Amino acid sequence: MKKLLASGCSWTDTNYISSLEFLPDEKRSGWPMWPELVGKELGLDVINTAWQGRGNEYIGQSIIDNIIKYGDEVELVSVLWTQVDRFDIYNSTSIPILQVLAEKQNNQTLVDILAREVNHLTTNPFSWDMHEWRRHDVFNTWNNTTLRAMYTIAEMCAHRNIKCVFDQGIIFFWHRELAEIESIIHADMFITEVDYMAMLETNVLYQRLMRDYSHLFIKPKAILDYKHTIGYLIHHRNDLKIHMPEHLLSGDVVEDYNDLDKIDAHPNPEGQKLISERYMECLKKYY
Amino acid sequence: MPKKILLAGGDSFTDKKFFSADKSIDRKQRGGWPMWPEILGKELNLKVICTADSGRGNDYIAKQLLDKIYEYGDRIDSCVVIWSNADRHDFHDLKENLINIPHDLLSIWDKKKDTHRSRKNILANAYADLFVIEGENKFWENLLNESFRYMWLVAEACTKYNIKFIFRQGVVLLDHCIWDEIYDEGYICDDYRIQEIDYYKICDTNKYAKMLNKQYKKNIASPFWEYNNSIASITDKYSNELTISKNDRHPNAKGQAVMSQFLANALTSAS
Repeated sequence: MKKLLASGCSWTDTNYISSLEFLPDEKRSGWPMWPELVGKELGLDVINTAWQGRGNEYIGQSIIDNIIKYGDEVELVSVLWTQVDRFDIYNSTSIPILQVLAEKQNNQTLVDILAREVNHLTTNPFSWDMHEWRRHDVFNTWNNTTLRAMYTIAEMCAHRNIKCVFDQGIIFFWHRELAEIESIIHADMFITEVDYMAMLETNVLYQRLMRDYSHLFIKPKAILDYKHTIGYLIHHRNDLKIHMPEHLLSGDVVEDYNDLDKIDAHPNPEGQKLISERYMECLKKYY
Repeated sequence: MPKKILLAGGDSFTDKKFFSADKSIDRKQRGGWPMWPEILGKELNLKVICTADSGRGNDYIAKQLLDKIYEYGDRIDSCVVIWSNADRHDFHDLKENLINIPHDLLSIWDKKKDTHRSRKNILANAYADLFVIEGENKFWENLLNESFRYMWLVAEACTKYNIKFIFRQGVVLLDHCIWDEIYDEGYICDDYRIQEIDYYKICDTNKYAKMLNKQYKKNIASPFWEYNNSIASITDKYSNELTISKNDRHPNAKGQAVMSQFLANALTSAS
């Protein structure tokens, strides 16, 4: 049987279990994820290497390794990319700032958390000195790591006549949080959302990717703009995610960090179906 | 029509910014001469783009090369890479933010009396946390697989754009003796020790290494993880003549010219 290679983060990982222990087990995990649904529809054997918390470098490498491993058996590659600010340490993963929020103590603001964590949250480059920050050109390195992984897989698939579909991309969606910590980080580490987008649009790899392979993306705008991602859609629809308290459903953003331990915006079975439908639409459109 | 490009990659053997840390010799003998990419580019009448950076590992080298290949495509005529050591890597440890082993090694060169011990301490401290956490995740296999995967990706990208290419060196360790001492002195749990012979066995059986050998044998010095096939083995052989000093075995001006000639011949043979 021909194979579908899929990868991604927790939105794709079959081992994902919601951390909301007050929910009944059947509401925390156990439903088919989107690769399984797409594979069933197309009659393909699914090889899913997604792993919660992992970054785009791991996601890319896991696909490359399986393209090599399965060769001509691969019919389709589908990737739901994650955010750019996730670093891999071999088989471990750093903790991006947003994920710290899930472990926060009561009655603490984000600034409190960062002020405490910034000294020993060692994988967070905002705690580096400026020499290290500049040497590693952090924002560009994040972006290029993701763009390079995308371009490499697109090239490998094109070279081997493998169908390929990507969703999401270079999302760096905590500009609001970055603004909150502006006063406790070095001024040169701060970047506005507008400047970040401008930096991306002038990135050579981004320009090449859009020139050569924008057709592989379900929504090319979703590479840059969070509002076009499947993530944004699911975050804003109560029927598609695991759990969000009633009083938080109306707002665009979560204002009260005390409520974060009651929220799990990962897709529920309906959310997974919607993701698989987006992939199927794109496949029908381009192949 | 713009000149075609020679794309060069590597570490301090290739980096035109390299300047020897050996203060016992005259400044003029510590750097500033043309490196092999410049000499080779002149000989082949190609514009040189050199992405090399002292102390970097194979992941960094490959990423810079891939970015340039994706940017310039078939405007690149030739790609020549002198790969680095497999245990050179940028990574995050659990205590000290970002560690780059080679950069830290370079930084202690003229600050410590016992350079050997300092090198050992840095390696041991840097890797100890990783071994404790990741020991069961086939650390050495992953480390080598990463180097080979990147080499193969660069080879495939060159092939796609009809770029002539040669690779030399690859996956030797910085120093097997230092690694042995690190284990002997108990810095790292002995369970994670790897014998030199097992290290080369992993190299021999790695799927990307096998593919490189099968598809690109004429482009690489096979098996390129062996010291005898390395560029350093040439400059070391005539070290008095071709390297900077007793304390610094990087190639001097003459060494760079010899390397350039060697690489020009290899490029001709591979094409």
